[in-house]
Amino acid sequence: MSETKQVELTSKDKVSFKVDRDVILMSGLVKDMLEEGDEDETPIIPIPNVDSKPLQKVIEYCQYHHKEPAQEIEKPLKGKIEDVICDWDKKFLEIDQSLLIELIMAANYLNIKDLLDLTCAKVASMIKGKSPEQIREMFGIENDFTPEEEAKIREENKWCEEA
Amino acid sequence: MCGSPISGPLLILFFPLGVGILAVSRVINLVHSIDVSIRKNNEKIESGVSHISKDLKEKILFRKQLIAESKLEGKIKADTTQDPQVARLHVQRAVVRLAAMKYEGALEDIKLALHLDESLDATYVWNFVYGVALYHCGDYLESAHAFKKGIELKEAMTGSGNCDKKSVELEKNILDINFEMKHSHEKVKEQFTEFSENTKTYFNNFKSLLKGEKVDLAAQKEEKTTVSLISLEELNYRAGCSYYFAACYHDAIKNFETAAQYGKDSPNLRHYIYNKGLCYFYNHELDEALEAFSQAMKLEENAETAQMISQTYGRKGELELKQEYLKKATELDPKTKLITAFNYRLLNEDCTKLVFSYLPTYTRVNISSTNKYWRELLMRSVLDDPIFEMSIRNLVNNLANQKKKLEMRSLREKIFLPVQEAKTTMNFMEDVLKSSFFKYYIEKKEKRVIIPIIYENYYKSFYANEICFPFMKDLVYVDMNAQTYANCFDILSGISPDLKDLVLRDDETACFEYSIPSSFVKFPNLKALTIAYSFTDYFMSCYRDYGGFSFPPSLEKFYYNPDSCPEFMEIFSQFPTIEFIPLTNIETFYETV
Repeated sequence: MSETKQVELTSKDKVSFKVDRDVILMSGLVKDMLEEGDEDETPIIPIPNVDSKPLQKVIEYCQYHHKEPAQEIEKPLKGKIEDVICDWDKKFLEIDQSLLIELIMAANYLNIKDLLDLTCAKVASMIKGKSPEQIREMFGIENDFTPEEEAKIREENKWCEEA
Repeated sequence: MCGSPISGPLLILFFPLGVGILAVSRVINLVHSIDVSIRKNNEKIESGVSHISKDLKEKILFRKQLIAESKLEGKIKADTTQDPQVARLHVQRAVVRLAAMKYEGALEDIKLALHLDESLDATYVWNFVYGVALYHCGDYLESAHAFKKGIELKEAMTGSGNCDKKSVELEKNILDINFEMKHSHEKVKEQFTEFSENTKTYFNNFKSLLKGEKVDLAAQKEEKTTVSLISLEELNYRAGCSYYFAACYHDAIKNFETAAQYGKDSPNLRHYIYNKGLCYFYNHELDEALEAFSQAMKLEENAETAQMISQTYGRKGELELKQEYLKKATELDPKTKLITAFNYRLLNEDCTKLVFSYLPTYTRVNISSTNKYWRELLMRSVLDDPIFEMSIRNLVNNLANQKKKLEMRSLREKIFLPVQEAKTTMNFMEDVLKSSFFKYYIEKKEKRVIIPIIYENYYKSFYANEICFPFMKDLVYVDMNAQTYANCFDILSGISPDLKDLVLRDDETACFEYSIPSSFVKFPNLKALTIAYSFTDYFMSCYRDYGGFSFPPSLEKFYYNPDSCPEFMEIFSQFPTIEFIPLTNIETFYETV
């Protein structure tokens, strides 16, 4: 019986994760790094930009979607994201919003397109149907328009507002 | 019954009734026209009142600025030649306009000042005012560059010990105009403060003289004249803020650090350190962010800093400390609530644009009033869409509800204002397409556009509507309804001569205009043509009378409906260089739009 080749990933906070080589090849960054290294050893790959918590979630995602390729999410979203993704992804996205942002940054850094699409679509789904005021409150955004500028833009855009 | 014996008596019988009806209808018409004219007048009065009230509000808020501006305007008008003196007036007016929050006007003035006197560019004062105007107009990077230049000039001046006369004079002009804009009580207060300081110095000097100490009056006088409002601390702080908003965090950190060095005893020190912490936070340097926030917290405990410490611990995964500091923030300000969603600044531009790409265009247009950074990204995100769908469903948020919203008028409006005419679907499309949100899109080259639905009964004129022209300019791909006029092809070929891919789709009731098959030659670079409608015997005979099919020599592929009649298939042999390809799954093809 042949043993599955493994890779050791080290997070920013120095936590190590052993993961099957085939699984983590979903990451474009790791794939490029592995192509350069020796195949016989268990390579240790430092991931200096990602903390252990999001890295663990990334590995969890790769382990599932390595066997079950993710379906493309249609643009633009027609309804809520939960209507277009599988049950596993729905459960995967039941996380607090600070972890969601860490996941987007991790997926972007590790170059995992499907995970990046999923997490960005989730944020889009949070934005959909909200007014600019609600978005400002939700994301802590400062309104830097002058009252005149804002009034002008809103007058132009009134048929795009929620009705 | 005309001419019958009973027609005469009947005429006599009904004549008064007819006259009565006529009179009543005239009276109704008259009342209606009076009502319309009153309503129109009411509308004029209402708009006039709202205009006056806005004007009055502005006048009350910016009374002093308006007076100062009108005084300057008089002087500027009097002398319009290229003159450094006039340039200074424009700098002064820019300062006045900044105070009155008329940022675009201020930017115009400061640019004009440079045009009138090019040497202003070499003064830190001009760069400072230019930077402030750019900052308020949302051009953060340019603003940071202006402040940076101002810092260099000021440092060179301070280092060499030479006083740049032009800068000092310009600063004096700014001080004068700032003084002019102050209210009388502020002016009196300022004069009293100056008087009290002078008295204090006088008595101190007198005391020293009595003690037999020497007093250097010349040095005191010089110190007084070289005090500058636009200090290096101020310039560095402003540069830091501009770099921060431009997301150049490392540059911002440098400037905040320098501002903190200059302002060790400044009451603003806490802000410099807190802002430095924010830069580290958004640059994912969490330990450094914590250090800065803790330092700011030592200088002054407040909810804002405690909240950021809590957020930083949250991002580090130290949840107990996160809760501890959140509790502290709530104690300092009971209204504090941790922003639960991610902070948009943490995402880079590409990720934010990816988020936006999942939103329909109307949502992007709607949320473009969130802040300037988002508006810019949202406007640019449309450029990255593979195709622009010019349809009601993509551009108007829930047409039926928007129509209802329009009907919902207050009782006062219903009684006194003109009756509103129903807006057509076309009107909604026109309004949205006119929005400045699309200003980048209409400049885009090689556009790909889809016009998938029929707009009530106005679809034909829609193509020829001037509002649509900017969107149909420089097209390389267009997918549109086949119910079009041949003159639409004239317009399209004129504004999009490089069209390469033309798709004409249709519904079952379509009647393809008969001269269209002979009009494809108008597109000299057309490479692929798709016509989803099936060509029937009837249509083929009609086309024959209008010149049949003719294609440009560039055409390589023609996708057709396989349900078309055999006569259509006969044309294949006439065009041997074109590959005729049947659309394999016509139902799927229709579903794609």
